[in-house]
Amino acid sequence: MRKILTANYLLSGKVIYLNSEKKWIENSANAAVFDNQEDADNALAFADTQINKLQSAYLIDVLLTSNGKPKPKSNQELIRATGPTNYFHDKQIKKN
Amino acid sequence: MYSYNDFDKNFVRQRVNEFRGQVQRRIDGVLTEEEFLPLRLQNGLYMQIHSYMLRVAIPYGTLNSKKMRQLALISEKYDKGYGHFTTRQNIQYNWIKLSEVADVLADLAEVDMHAIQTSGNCIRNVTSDHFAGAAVDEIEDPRPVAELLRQWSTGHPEYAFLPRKFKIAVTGSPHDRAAIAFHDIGLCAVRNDDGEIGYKIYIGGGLGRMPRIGRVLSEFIPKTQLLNYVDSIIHVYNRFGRRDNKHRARIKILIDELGLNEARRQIYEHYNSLKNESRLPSTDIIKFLMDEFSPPDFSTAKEHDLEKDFIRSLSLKNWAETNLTSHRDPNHVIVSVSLKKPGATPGDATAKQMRVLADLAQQYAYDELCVSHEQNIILPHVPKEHVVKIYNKLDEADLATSNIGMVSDIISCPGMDYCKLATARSIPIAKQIATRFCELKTERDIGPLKIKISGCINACGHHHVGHIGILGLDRRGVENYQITLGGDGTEDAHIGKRTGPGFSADKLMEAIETIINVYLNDRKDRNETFLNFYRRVGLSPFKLAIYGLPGTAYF
Repeated sequence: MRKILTANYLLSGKVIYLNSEKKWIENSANAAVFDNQEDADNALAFADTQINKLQSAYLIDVLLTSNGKPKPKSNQELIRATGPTNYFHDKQIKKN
Repeated sequence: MYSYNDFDKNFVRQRVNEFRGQVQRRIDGVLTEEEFLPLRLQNGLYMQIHSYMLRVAIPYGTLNSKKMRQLALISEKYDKGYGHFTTRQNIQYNWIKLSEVADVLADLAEVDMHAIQTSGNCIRNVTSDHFAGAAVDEIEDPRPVAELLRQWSTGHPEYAFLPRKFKIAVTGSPHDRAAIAFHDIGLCAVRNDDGEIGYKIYIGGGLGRMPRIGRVLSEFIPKTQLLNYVDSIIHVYNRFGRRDNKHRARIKILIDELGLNEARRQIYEHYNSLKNESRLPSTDIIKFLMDEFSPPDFSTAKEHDLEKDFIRSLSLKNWAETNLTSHRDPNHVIVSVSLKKPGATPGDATAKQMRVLADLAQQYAYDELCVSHEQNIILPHVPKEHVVKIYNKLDEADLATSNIGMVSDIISCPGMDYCKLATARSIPIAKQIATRFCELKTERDIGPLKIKISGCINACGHHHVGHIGILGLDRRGVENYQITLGGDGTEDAHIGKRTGPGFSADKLMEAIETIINVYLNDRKDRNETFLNFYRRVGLSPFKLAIYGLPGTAYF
């Protein structure tokens, strides 16, 4: 298994990911990758302690790119990570 | 146009305050997300894939300039400077923050608007004909009845937790522009033998995973009995509609399971018990609502020969051919403003464009606008003498696309670019098709053709009733698009038939082009529309053209 933990910030609704320092970040490529169930469960348990900060938290399947970075496997999660494909919004602008 | 009275204003403001408190309790951790979910949904706040989305109700699509300007302001103040007009005549903001949503609702309340009952298992925004009050064939303006139903259903305590959502559409014309046969209840104005106007009632229509064409429950219900009648239908649905399976919970399934006759018997049992109750809308209330929607004084418009304007401008003439419709008054026209510029997102308008539309309505068109379920904006009453000025202002605002009812006037849901339920993207497909036919310059030759695209089986993009319908699905992680042909959302209601296996995104355009070429090559003449051609020849020639002979890969 290869998973990363994602959520939305409660107040802003922004899409976020948990990194290896247990900080919430906006770039999925820098998220912590869990390759065993125990680590994944621990990450979920950590998210449960932050329900006043998060809208929801869940694990998603990822692939690893050639440079070892996680990339969401499903189309929906990929669009969620990179932003809508019809407009060039702030997320895409920030990355460029 | 109906104006809020003190009761309406207080009700909406109280709801804003109530929701502000609920949001604060969620932020403070007093409410869990699970507890908060039904509360935010009752106020139109969804969590989509990127952010919160707020769906704002536009009852029967009608707006004035003040409301439109406020929608523009909200898009700038709280969102990214644009809004998405939907197939339910609503507007959606895609980038709302929870911390600001109560302020958005307060701003809406300032102009007598809200987001109540735009989600959840309740009676949703009542939709109507976007040419209401202006259509040549109209028996009566359907909006007083739509408003009556809106007032009755808003905050109705018995119907706040129905088995599933419930959609009502009303039209005043025999030519159905409101797709009433595809709603849980559809109402259509009719005259009885005595010349009295009442409503024909359709029940159990719907799109989604089990599309159904509504069936006639009653040929004529007088206006004073309409609330009792609609109440009786929903009463029976509320009691017996299935709550065990979300996918079988709509009233169409109850009608399937009971049979129309038994459903009618149960509905009439309740209806007869209500008939003599004093809570009927009195003729005074009906008259009051009719007066609220009294038409403007059309007699002030001068006679004007538009043909002379057309001689001076070919682009105006082209635009007028598709975007102007005859009005009930000979000195007026109905202007449809397309939000479907090829390459743009269907239904989206920027704050600047919304303000231009508001200005035009206020200056030239009796301060009235209407959102169509086809995701365009209508100026229902335009004196002919103002058409050139309006066209020029629309052109300056990039709003003069001349394609209403044509191949590039595509209905599209937000699809996977925004929606959590979507299984595929729909916006890029709409953009690609519209751009392609714009480049080919064949749109006028093709003539009237409605393409409708949904990004999932829930069919917000009305694909079942597209002359060409496209349904985006996920096939083992790859977006795949099924095509249906022959759907029709008008009074001649038909559900489109699937051609066969779906196409990947990169093969879909070729298939659509092939389908249209079959029509162009084999139609009798230019007067035979795509839909009529399909009805004459059926599915076979299209299947042959897009899949090849039986025995080849697709068969």
